[in-house]
Amino acid sequence: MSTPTRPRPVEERLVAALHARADQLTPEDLTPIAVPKARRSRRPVLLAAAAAAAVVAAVVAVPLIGDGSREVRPAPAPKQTSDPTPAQGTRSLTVDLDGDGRQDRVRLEDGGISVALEGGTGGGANVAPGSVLLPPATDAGTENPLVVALPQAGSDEPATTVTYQDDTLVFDQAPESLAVGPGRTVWVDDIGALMLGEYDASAPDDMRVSVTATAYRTQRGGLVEFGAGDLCWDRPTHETPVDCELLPHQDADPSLMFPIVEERYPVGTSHGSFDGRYDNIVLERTRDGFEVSYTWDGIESRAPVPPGPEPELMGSATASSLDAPAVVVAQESGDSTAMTVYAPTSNGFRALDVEGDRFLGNSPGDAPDFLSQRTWMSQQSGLWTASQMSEDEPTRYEVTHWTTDDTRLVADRQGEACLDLDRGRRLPDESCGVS
Amino acid sequence: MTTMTHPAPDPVALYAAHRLGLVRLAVLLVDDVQSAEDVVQDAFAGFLGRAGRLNDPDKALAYLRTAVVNNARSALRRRRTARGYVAPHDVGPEDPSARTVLAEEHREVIAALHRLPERQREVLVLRYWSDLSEGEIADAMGISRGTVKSTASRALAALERQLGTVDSNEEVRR
Repeated sequence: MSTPTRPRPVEERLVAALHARADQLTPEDLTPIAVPKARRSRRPVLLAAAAAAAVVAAVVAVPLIGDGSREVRPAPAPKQTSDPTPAQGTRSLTVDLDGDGRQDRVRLEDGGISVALEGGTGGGANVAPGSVLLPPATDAGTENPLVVALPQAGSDEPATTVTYQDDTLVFDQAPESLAVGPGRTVWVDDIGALMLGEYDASAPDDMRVSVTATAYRTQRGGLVEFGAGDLCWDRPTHETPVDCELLPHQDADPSLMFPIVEERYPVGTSHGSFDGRYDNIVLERTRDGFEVSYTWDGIESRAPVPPGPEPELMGSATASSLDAPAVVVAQESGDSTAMTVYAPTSNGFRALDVEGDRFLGNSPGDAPDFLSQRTWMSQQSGLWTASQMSEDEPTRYEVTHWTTDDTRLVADRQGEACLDLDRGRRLPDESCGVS
Repeated sequence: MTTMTHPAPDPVALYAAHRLGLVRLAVLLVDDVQSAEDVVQDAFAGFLGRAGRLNDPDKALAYLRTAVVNNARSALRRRRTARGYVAPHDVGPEDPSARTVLAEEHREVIAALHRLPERQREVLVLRYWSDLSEGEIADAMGISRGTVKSTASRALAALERQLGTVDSNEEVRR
């Protein structure tokens, strides 16, 4: 960012626009909330959020595709959790709903929700039979906390919300999508956001699952869905899904291995997640073969694809250490598929070397070191390889989670596990003789 | 017990002195006053837990600035849909600051700014609105000075492409 003799026109326009936009906001526009020490009702929530963020910051520095150095802890004892009723559900709660610093009471009774404000007024509305109250959502885009009465699984009726705005108790219906059921859970997270999580409903109850999260926030008078990324849920031990890094490490963690991403992008078709003007990944045909064209932050790099069959783009893996994604290219030949990982490195954008020159990809068998092998991308951006080691135990695999060390792919060995790769399941260890 | 260190900054005084500026910084990053206020409130709440250890007012402000950048990034990621959410770059009708209309030429720039990748947007806002040095931006964002430099360069080039404001003297200066 050298200082030119005079600013470039774009710099002058940018400075003027930034100041004009910032100056639109005056002291009078700020919400007249008290300084933090006076926010007694909200402060514990905020401090909890800050503490949670600190925990994340302490463990979030994971390498490209996974972290092979986390502390190994014993897997929790499984228990059955097939009941889709939210674990957070209650019949009554207290919350400062109107922001006057005093606790108000919300309760469910006789098919309705009733609110008694400490100031003496209140209100009520009908709710679906069997509903439960979730903890107050304090990060739902509303001026005051939002309380949700959530119907039980299978109900046709929508959830009911209540909040206090413009000196009025406002009861409303939530979007139909905010509902529990098989493969769906609803909760209020540690910073007070109202969340929906969708996961593989047929996964065994004692198995960790990957969860696609959606946050609900109020915009222009209604709750609106916003994608909130992928979370992990250890159902036997956690009431709700959490950031995957917060779960105790588990070798061959099914929530990180599955579901398998099946999308592929042929030559000339941009990667579905990176098909914009400034971020774009696409395979292109050249006179001599094929190249990966990789545009990040508007800068394009290219790397040749090894000679062989026509390639396809598989998935991508976010590189926290590189602040840019790596991309996997597959070349299928008969029963085998060879894969190559490309990423920005200290030597520029290039294909990564594989530790020990291991074969990366799918192979039906007859290799010297294994019977068959499968390599896949998971929804959590992980690259995994499972190698079958015994003819007698077709579901018994040696599992590898791939990490990066600048220009190299490094094997993070996860030990043996029983896997059903067609269904994306980790099976009980005893089912294939893993001790 | 006596101590030779500076007294810890008074959170109330810091809040009064810097809340508006930090909300303005946040609104340039998230372009939504309500989210910006939440971002700053969360930053102050985090600061309260560390106030005893941040006994230098300058460090306290640097901490708050970094927290605002990080919280704004989290807010944007939280609100983004899985299939690609485009951040709103128009000032919403309920935005209290919308009483004054942003000139069309500025709206165009702000819209272009919000089409940039997060990191590029953060560098430009910290450089051209917060007026921070490369070193201060590097500290605030947890990246190297070289990355600040290259990111700013790419961001300005991208902005120029979007706005069509290539300077006729640009080639001469380069």
